[in-house]
Amino acid sequence: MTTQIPAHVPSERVVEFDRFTSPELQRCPHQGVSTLFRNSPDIFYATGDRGHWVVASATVARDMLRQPDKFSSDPVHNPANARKPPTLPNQTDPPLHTELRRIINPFFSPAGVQKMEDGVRQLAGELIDGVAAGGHCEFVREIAQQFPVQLFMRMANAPMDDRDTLVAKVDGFTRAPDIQQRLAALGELGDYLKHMITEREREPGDDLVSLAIHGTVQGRGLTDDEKQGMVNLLFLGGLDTVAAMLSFIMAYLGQHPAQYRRLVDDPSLIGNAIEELMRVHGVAGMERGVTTDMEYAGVQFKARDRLVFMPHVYGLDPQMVDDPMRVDFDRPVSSHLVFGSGPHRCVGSHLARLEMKVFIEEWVRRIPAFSVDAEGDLPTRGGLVWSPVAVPLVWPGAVSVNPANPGDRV
Amino acid sequence: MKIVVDRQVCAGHALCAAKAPDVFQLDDEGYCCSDGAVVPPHLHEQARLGARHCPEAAIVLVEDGDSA
Repeated sequence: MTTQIPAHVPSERVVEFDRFTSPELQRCPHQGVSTLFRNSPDIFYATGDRGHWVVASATVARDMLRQPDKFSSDPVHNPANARKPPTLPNQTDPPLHTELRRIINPFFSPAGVQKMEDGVRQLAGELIDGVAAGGHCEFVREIAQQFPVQLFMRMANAPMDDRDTLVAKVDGFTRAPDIQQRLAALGELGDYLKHMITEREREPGDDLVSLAIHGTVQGRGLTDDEKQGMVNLLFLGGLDTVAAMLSFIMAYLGQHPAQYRRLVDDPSLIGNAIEELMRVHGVAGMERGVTTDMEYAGVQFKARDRLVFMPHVYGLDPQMVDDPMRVDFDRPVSSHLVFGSGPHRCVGSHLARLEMKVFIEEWVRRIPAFSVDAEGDLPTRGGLVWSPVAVPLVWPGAVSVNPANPGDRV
Repeated sequence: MKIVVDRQVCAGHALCAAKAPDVFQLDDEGYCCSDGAVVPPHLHEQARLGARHCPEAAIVLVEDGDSA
C-alpha cells in the first residue's frame, strides 16, 4: 500500500517506517527504532499507517506535549485518529480534559494506589507460587497477561471469566495493522462495556467504572458518549500496558543475570531499577493533531497534520540521557517520557510503578536466579503498544519463601 | 530555602514526593501542593533530590539569599 505524501512535506523528511509492521519492531524494537530515529530528522514523515509525522527527538516531543493549544488531543484536529465515541479523557484538551481527569485522579493518586498494595502483593505472590515449583513459565501468557489484568478486573469489578475475551479485543485495537480492524475491535470492546455501564448506572458500586460514569463536569453529569469514552479508555490502559512492559523487563533481567543478582542481594534497589528499566522499555505511544498552519522546530505544519509520539524510545535519546544504552540502576535520575508529559501524563503511572515494583520484590524472594530459555533475540510485536510475543523463563529448582530461611532450597 | 511550584506545569508525576517524602506534599489528586513551603536546613538535600526528579521541571527551589 503506498501512502500519498502531502505536498507540504519535503522529501528529505520522508522516512520509510510503519509503527505496526516495520522490521525494526520484530525483535529488539527499542534498539532498532532508536537507531532509526538517530539516523532520521528530529521530526520525520512516516510512510506507513496512512502517513503521519513522527517526533523522533525526545526533547522536541516533550516541548510539544506541553502545548495542547498547538498540538491537540481532540480528533477534530486529527481526523485520522477519530473514534466513535472519542476515548476520554485522552481525546480532549483542557479545560474539559482537566475536569474529566479530576473524576478519576484521586483513585489513581499515589495515596489511592497505596491502598491497593496488599492486594497487589498477594496476587503477585500467588501467581509466582503457581509456577515457582515447576522451574519454568511462559511469562507473557502465564503471568503478565494475568497479573495487571486480574488487578484491573477487580478494580472495575468485571467478571473474571471475561478476561480472555477482553484481552483479545484490546489486543485487536492496539496491534492490528489495519485501522478498520482496530476500530472494529474498539467497537466490540465498547459493546461489551455498554452493558457494564448500564448495569452500574442502575446499581453503582465502589468500583472504578461506577466512579468514572457518575462524575460531573461543568456542573452536569456525563453524557452517554462521555461515559463510554471514559470506560473504554480505562480498559485500553488497564489491560495491556503493564503486561507488555513487565514482560520486556523480565526478559531483560533473565538475559542479564548480574543485574538481576543485584536486586536479589539488595531488594531496596528495586524502586530505582524499575525506573531505569522503564526508561529503556517504553511500550505505549500517543497522537496529536496540529491546530493551525505553523512552523515549529523548523518544520512547516498544516492544520490537521497528524503527529505520532513514541515514548517507547525517548528514554534512549542521547539528548535526554547520557550514555542511554547503558542500563544503570544507580543513575541519579532515569529520565524518560514513558508516561508522557504535560496534562495528559498517564493517569495509571503510579499504579503501574507499584505493580511492577511489588511484582519484582515478590519474584526475587522466590526465584534467586533465572534465565530466558531461547536462542537469540525474542520476537516482539509493534503497534500502539509494543510487547514481546512470548518470554520463556527457566530457573533451577524451587525455593522456600519461609521468611526465616529466605535462601533455602526445598 | 523556599519551594516554588508552577501548578500549571505540574502534571502529577509525583516523583518529588516519592524521592523527598519529608519535603513535598501531594493533594488529593496526587499533584504537588508544596508551593510556598519553607524547607528547614536539614532537608535541603532531600528537597534538591525531589526537585531534580520532576519530569516537567515545575519545581524551583529559592535558596536563602537568592532574590525570588
